[in-house]
Amino acid sequence: MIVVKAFGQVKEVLGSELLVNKEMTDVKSLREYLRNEYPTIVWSTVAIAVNTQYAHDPDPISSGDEIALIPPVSGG
Amino acid sequence: MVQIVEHIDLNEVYKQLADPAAGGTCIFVGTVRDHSLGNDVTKLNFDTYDTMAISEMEKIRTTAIEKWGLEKAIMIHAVGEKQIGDPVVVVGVAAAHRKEAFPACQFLIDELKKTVPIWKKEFFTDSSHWVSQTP
Repeated sequence: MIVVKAFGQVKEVLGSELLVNKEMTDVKSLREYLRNEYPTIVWSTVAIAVNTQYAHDPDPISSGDEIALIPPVSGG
Repeated sequence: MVQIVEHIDLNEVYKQLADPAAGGTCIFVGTVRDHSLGNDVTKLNFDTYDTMAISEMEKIRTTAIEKWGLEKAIMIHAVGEKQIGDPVVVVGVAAAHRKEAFPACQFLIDELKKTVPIWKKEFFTDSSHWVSQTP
């Protein structure tokens, strides 16, 4: 199981933390899972961070990693 | 110094930037505007991913210090509900000369808007929305 933090507009849909009860090996597999489970979110605009660093599809995910969904940022 | 805070104290920022080797101090303050895309804005609310926002701001700050040889650089963003006129972000640099201070200060705010995980929700008189594109 992994815990995924959500922020901004994604948090309003998923809540602040999402529990994923499925084996995830990399960012790509998580992205595909989210696309299937929550089709109303435009996932192409949402970045995924692993341990507070922007991550890409091939990057691995391990249990205990801090995963976060980053919709388009709008600070300032 | 980089921080996420409830309330920004501009006088404190100016004090923190003071440096005997600096001949030029440049500070940008972003405040809540009362309009957006033709609509009346009543307030803003900011959501932040604190640990990553701090980490991303540190990267930007370090890049600016190295690129322009700054004496000091500060980035502070506010979180929570903010009213019209409230400061929501401040970035500032202290450099030997203005030639370095101006572009470095602009770099800090421009890069913050691109990569730092902070989200702005705009409230209008009868609706609200998350801002997804920063002009």
